[in-house]
Amino acid sequence: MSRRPVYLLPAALIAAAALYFASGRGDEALVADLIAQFDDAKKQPDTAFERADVTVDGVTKRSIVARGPTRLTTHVTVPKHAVFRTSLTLDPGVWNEPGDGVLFFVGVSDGRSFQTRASVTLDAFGRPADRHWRDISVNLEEFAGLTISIVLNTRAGAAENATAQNDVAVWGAPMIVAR
Amino acid sequence: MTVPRVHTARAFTAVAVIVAAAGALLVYGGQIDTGLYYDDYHFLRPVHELELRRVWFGSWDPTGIESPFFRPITAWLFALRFWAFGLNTLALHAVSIAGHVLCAACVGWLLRREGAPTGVSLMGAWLYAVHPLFPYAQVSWLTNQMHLAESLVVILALLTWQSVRDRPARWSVALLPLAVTAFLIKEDAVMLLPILLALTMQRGWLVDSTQWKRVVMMLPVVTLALATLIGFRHQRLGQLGGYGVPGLEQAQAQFWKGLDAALLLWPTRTPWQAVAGLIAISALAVALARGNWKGNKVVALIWCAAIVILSTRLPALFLGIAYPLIAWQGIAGGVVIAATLTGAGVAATRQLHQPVLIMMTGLVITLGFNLPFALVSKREQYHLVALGAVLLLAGSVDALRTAAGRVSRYVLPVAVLASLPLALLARTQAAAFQPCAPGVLSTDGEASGWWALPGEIRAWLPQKKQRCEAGLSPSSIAELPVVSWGLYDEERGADGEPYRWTSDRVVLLLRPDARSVAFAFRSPDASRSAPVRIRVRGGSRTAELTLDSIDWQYMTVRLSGGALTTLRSAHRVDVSITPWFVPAVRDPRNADLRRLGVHFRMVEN
Repeated sequence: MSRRPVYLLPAALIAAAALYFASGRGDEALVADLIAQFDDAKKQPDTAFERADVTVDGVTKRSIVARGPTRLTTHVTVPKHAVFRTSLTLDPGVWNEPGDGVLFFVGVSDGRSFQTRASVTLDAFGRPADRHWRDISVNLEEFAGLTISIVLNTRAGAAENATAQNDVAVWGAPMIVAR
Repeated sequence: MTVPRVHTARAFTAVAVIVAAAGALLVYGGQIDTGLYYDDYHFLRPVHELELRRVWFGSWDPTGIESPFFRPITAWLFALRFWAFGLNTLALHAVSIAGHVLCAACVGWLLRREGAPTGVSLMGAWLYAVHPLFPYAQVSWLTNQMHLAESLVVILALLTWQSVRDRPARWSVALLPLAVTAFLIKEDAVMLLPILLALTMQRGWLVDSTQWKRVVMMLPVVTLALATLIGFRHQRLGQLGGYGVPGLEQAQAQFWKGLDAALLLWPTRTPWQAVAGLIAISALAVALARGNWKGNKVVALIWCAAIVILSTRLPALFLGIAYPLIAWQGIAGGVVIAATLTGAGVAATRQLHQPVLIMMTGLVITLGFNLPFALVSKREQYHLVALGAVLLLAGSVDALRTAAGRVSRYVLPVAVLASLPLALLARTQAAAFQPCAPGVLSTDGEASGWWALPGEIRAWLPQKKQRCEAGLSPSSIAELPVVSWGLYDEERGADGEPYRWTSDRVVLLLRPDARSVAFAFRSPDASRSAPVRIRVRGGSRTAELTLDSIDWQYMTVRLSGGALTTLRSAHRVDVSITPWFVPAVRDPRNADLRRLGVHFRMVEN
C-alpha cells in the first residue's frame, strides 16, 4: 500500500466533518412562532401570561411575559435541522424591585419522556449583569419528524428557599427555525 | 502432555474455535435458550426509521426507559437483530454464544501473535470461553450483546495494533476507526486508545526502545481523539450522560470492586470464601505433589472430604454465619489467586520475559478498562476487564509452563483441570438467567409496567410466573400466537365493536405455522376526497387497501415461509398507514402526541 491512501483517511474524515457542519449553516426558515401560537398554547396557570413588546438595551422583542411559577406548552412538528430560539430577560419594571431571580428552563416532551434541554437563572435585582437579553437555543435535531411539546417553564430562583416575589419573566421572540 | 506447534494459521484458527466451543459447551450446554431478561423486553422491538436517525442525535433509547447514553451503533445493531431474528430467543442466544466463541478464538490469536506457545494460546481461548464474568456481561443477557459487539471490536483493535506496531507510524491510523466504532457501541471503549498507547509504551520499555518515537507521535493523536469523542458525545446528548459522578471515596471503592471482580473473582459472599478456597486447593496440591503417592493418598482424601464438608452449611452454622465457607465462587477465586500469584512470582524471580510481557499486557488492559468503573460499578459491564484478566491468567500459565522444566507437559492439563471451578461457576451464573430463576421473575414484574411492551407480552408475563411457581416450565415467548407493536389499547365504538387505533406503522409477529391472517380496517375520517391508504407486507407479498368511507374493510394476507421466517421462527407482517395524524396537531389543546392511523381488528389468524 502506498503512503497516500493511509494519509487520505484522516483527511477524508476531517473533510467530511467540515462538510457536515458547513451544511448545517445558512439561511433559516421559520417553522413555528410561539407568539403566533400563544392563544393555542396550554397555559398553567392560565392567568399568569400575556403577550407584550419588551425593550431591553434598545432592542424590542415581541415577547411572552410570565408571572410567578408557570408552564407554557406548545405542540410543534419538527423538521430536520430545527432549533428552538428565544431571548430571556426579566421585565425591566422589576429590575430594581427586591427578588431573588427566576429559573427559566426549556423542556421537550415527545409524549414518552420529558427532557430539560436548557436552564438559566436570571437575577436582575441581585446581578446587574443580568439586565440584558440572554439568548438561548435548543437543538431539536433529535426530534426531526416527530410532533413534540415545547415546554417553557419558570420557577422561583434556584435557591432552596427562593421566593416568587417580583418574578416577572420574559420569553423574547420564542420561535423554532430550521436551517 | 505437550501441545504441538500448530503451524498454519487456518489450523490454529480451527483448533482455537474447537477449544473455545468446547468451553462454551461446558458452560452454556443445555441452558442456551434462557429467554428474555429485564431490558431485553423493550429493546427487542421493531425500530422506526425516525428512531434510527434519532439515535445519532440523542439517547440510544428513544423510548425514554433507559438512562441517556450515546450508543448509536448499538441501537442499529438492536434494530438489525430484531429484523433478522424477531423474538426467536433460541436463535438470539445462539448468536451470543457463537460471538463469544469467536471472541475466545481471537484471544487465542492475540496470545499467539504475542509470542505465546500454541498450548498457552489455546489455554487463553479456553479461559476466555469459561470465565465466569462473561455469562452476565456478554452471553446470557441479550441486551449485553452490545458488550459482545464491543468485545469483538476491541479484540480486533488489539489484533490490528499487533499488526501495525512494527510498521511505520502512519499505519496506526487504522486503529482510529475501530476506536470510534467501539466508542459508538459503548462509552467505556473510550479507554481503548489510551490502552493501546500504554501497550506501546510497555513495548518500548520491554521489547523495542524505538517504540518510544511512536509513543511521542501517538500521544497528541490519542489526546485529540479522546477530546473529540467525549466532546461529540456531550454535544449530541446535551450532557455527559450516564449516572453522574460519584464522590472520591465511592469512586475508589468502585474501582477496587472492578479489579476484585476480575482478578480475584470477588466479591464472594465473603472474602474468606476465596481464602478458604485458596487454602483448600493449595493444601490438596501440596498433599498430592509431595513425597510418595501412596502415603499422601490418605491426606488427599482427607482434604477432599474437608472441602466437601466446608462447602456445606453445617460448619457455617457452628460459626454462626449463613453461608458455606467454600463455594464454587470461592474455589474459583482460590484458583485464580493461586495461579496469578504463583505465575507472577515465578515469572519475576526467573525473569521470564515472554510470560511477563503477556501478564503485563493483561494487567494494562484490566486496569485501563476498569478505570471508567470508578464512575459506576456494575458487574454486568466487566467484559473488557475480564479480557485483561484472561490474558493475565494465560501469562501465569505460560510462566508456570516455562519454569516447570521436565514436568512442563503436565502444566497445561493441570491448568485445564484447575479452570473447571471457573467453568462451573460460570455455569451457575448462566443458570441465573433461566426463565424461572428468581432474579428473572423479579425483573419480569418491573418490565411488565413499561409502555413499550406489547400487550401480548404483558399478558404472557403473569402466566409465565404462575407456571414457574407451579414448578412447570413456561412457554417460550416465541410461541405466542401473535405479538404486535404499533397498536394502542382496545376501545369500543358506538356499535359496541372492539377495535384498536394503529400508529402509522404496525408490526406483527405470527406463529410460523399460520397460513393466512385477516385484518379489518376502518378510518373515521376517510372519504372519497380524503382516502386513507393501507399497505400490508407479509412474507414476500405486498397488498394495498384504500379506505374511502367510514365502513370497515377487510383484507386477507397469505403467509409464506422463507429464510427470514425460519430465522425469526415467526411470520412478520408490516402494515403502514398514510396519511396518519397527531391529535395534538389537529387540536392544539389536545396533549396527545401519538401518531394515529386507523381503527384495526384482527379477524382471523
